Amino acid sequence: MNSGRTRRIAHNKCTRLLYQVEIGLVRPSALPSHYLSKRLLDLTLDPSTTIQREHVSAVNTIDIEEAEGRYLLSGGGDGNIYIYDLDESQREERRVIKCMAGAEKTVSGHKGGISRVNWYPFDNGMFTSSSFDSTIKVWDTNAMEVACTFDLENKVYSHAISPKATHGLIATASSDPRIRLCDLKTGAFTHSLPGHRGTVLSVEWSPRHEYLLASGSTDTTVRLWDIRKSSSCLCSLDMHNTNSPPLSEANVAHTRTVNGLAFTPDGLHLISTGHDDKMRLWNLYTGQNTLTNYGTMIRNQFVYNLTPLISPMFAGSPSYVFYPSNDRSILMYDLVDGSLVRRLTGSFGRITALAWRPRTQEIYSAGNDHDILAWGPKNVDRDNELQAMADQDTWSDSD
Amino acid sequence: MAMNLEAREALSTLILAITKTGDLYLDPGQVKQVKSICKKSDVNVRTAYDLLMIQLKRKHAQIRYSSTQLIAELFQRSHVFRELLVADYPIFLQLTVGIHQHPLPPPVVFADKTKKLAISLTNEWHAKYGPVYKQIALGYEFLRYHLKVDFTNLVPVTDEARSVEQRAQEELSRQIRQRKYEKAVVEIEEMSDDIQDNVRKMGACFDILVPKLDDEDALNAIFGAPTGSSIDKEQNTQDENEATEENRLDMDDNNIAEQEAAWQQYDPVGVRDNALGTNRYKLTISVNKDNPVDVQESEDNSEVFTTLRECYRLIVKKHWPKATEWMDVLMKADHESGEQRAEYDRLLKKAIDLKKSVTDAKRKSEDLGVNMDTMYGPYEQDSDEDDEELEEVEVTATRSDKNDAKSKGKQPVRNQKRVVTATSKNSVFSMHGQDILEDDPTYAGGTSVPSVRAVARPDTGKDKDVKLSTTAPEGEESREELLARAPLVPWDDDLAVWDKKDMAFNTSGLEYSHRFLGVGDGSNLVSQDTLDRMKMRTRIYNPELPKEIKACRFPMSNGRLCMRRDLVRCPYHGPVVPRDELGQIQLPPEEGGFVRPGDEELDDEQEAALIERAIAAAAPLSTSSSTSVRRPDSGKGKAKDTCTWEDIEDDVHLALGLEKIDVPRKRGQGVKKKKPTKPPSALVNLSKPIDSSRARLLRRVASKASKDSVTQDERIEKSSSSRDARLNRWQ
Repeated sequence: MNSGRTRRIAHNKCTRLLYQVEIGLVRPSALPSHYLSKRLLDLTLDPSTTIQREHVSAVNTIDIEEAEGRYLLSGGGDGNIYIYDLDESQREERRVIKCMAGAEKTVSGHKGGISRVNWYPFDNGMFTSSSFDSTIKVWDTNAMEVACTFDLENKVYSHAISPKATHGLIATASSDPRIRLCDLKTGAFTHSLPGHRGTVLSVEWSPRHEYLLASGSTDTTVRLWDIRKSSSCLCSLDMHNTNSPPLSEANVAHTRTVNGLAFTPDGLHLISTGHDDKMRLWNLYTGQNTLTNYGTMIRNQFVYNLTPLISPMFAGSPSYVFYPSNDRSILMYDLVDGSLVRRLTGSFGRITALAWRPRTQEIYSAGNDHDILAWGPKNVDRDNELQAMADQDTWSDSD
Repeated sequence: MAMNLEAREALSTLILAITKTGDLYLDPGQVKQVKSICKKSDVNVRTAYDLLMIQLKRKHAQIRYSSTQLIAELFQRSHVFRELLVADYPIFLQLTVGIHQHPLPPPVVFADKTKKLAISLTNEWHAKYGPVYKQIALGYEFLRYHLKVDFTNLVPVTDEARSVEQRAQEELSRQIRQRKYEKAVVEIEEMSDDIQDNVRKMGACFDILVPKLDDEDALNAIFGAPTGSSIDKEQNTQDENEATEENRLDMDDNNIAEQEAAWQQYDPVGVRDNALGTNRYKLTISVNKDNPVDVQESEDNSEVFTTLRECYRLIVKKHWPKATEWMDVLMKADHESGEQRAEYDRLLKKAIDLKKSVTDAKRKSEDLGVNMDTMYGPYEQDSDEDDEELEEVEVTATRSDKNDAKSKGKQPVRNQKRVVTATSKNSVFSMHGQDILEDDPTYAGGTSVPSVRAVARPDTGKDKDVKLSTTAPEGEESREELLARAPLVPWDDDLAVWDKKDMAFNTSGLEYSHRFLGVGDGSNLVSQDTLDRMKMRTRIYNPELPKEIKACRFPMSNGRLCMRRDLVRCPYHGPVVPRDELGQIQLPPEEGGFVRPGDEELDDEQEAALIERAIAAAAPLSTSSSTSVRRPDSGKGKAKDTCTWEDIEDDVHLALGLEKIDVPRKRGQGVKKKKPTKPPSALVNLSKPIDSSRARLLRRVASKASKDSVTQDERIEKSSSSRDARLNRWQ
């Protein structure tokens, strides 16, 4: 009765929105934005999807390609890389996604744990992987073979390929304080960006400016780079918003190691996280801390790169940032006002990486319990028997 | 809101109470209350969940165990509760199984229990809710994959799983019953003829051996003559009684004497005394229990007996157990109505009939003296000689044993009786024609002087009975009896006053008080306690010390026997028991192997009991001793004894007849008078420090006394060293 009524109301709202879009009262993006935020708020562990466990150690990183939004790439501490087809057995009630291809420790493969995998942003025929064995490898997806290897001679913690740039440069974060840029076109290093004084744990390209690069390091600074300049470091972000010069030694983004960076999809803001259990939102136009307070729930002692995930942004609807905390839950914050919206619990391992699948508005998470989990919006219309049984109260009459 | 607060209050007290008892099982009443509160609204369920999680997080395994049980109850019932728990499932498993490096708190026993319970719960919940609640499935996978938990062969814990299990069990047992029933049906059909044949055969044997009751001639042959005559006699008596009553009216003085004489013979019913006759008679027929039918086996009917024995053996060995089993199976079998029912009824009737006939035949043959003990009759002995001889020997052996036991146990008593009766009758002069005098009312009987032996023997109830049964007059006998009972004691002062209730003194009236007998209380009587003291007697006890004290002879680790000589127990090896050359305990008491003061007075039985007790006390040692004989090294330290110097001292004191020394215990050592009040809950106190060897050592070392002694030692050392130094300086 109750659920029926809510469903009817929802239905009414849907038709009204459609009508409003049709006659031009609201923007066309209002409809998807409305549904996206609704579905995000309903996010929970998807009981019907299981991703088969392949890794025999922690899964360190996952990535979903953007071209089709179909293939999931995972890299584990065991040095193996697997690819899953997320559309597999899509129509089945209970789907088990099996690994479709894998690069297990081969002669050409990685000798150490994988720290980061990235699809080539424009084509799923290629992906890159960085490893603690101090190499970055470029893979041919179809052959599952290494096409090119960059040896950095240092533990590589992360790497990034610009999602929009045509320069084809891979920025690397390694235990070497310099950020080295690998050129996919030549298979060689183009140049290095000196400035950090400690291990660089994270590096990200701006989705807005193709030459803008952000990096975070154990020296507690977050630096922005323009790779075209000879003195390439633009500024070091300052958490206190003082009027010190942009490259002042006193500028620190966090009080302790910075291990996560994420640009908002519009490229106007930057999220940084550090071991001081804080998450900071930076305005990239001014380079200032927005002083958004994300509360005290964050527990971050992860020693490797840990990138927060920011949901797609639509004008007029809130955007969310997902952050895997130490207590094995995913904290979901409102990006702008910093309020904790939800806590996604259920994982039995510490979540090490998150990936967003735009087509189905799902989140995939990798954990150090060797598992990859799917988080989807709770299916309201799912009306099967099991759910009905589970939803039932079974108080006996004698109670 | 006030309502909510009330419910919250009630829930919190209830949950606290349930989880703090520390018992293995929850109080069903309280659980029911919790459930009834939770049933009212989902808000209450949330409250209960919060409270339970708080309890679950306590660092005490017993509290966690109880909480887990209650969680299982609510999880099964409430959807809201399920949602809540599922959201926190990793935490739940952390707290109950100890995943993610969260070890469970002590006590260990309950921690294990909690873990097992949570694993079983996960298993069952996974089976039921796994497809709906991903977290439970993940938890299950986590336990299986990471903790390598074996989910097979788990005991069901929730009611539902248990009922499923139970149903399966019932189904299994039902199938077994059905199978048994079918087997029994076949067997009944097959064997009923055999049984009936056998029973018929036995019936024929009985017919031959025992006359039937409806057989008039046979009955007459056995009972006819005596029964008839007795009836006649009774008839006669009755007639006579009637006659006498009629005659009474015209009775003459003359024939009184004749009548008297006649009555003397014929007055069984006391007509003469009561002036009443009776026509009711009591007839008692006693049947010899051992041989009720009274058919003796003779050469004539030995063949019949042989057949009967064979049949009997068949019945006892085969048919009787079978019939009992069928009855069992049939009674337990579940039967449906309809055709099956009729069939079942027929079978049941058949089985009952068979069992009845078998039972009858068995009982009858046992009445005839045929049972499993007498499988060979007296006339069957020639049949097979080899076996026979062996059998014979065995039988005689057991018989002689029995006789021995009898002579040991009973005969002495009988002999005593005989002696006593003989002596009691034995007067000093046996008067000539005493038996005639016995009838004379003026004769009081001869004074009997009991023999010294009889007097010295302590009075026993049996003797009294024997004496009472003699027919002598009352007064005379009591004195005799008293004399017989009186102990023979040497003369002493106390004999002068032993029977006095009070004693007067100083009857002269001159002096009121006596110099020695004390001041009277005005009645010129010796005071009661003085009199009591006068009745006391000095006795000098001279203990008989054992001439020879046996060695302990416990086998020691060096291969030799313990040479310590102790009266009762060795301080190292426990009670001294007779042992052989190897030091093994000898179970039958050896001759003179156990010397103890006062052994002469002890009966054989008492002594045996004593030795047995000693052996029993040494039994745990004997096992270790036997091992130590074989492997001398391994036996070291095993023969631990608890007896102390005090025990041995007690033994010696006991042997010398001295009092046991009770050393007043010190305050600290003694048993605590005040029992510590039992805490209301069974929770183990975790704050109490664990009594480890380290803690005990610390307690000893850090105690004030030991510290004081150390400081004192230091001081002494210092002073002595300074003295030495001074000495040296002086030199």
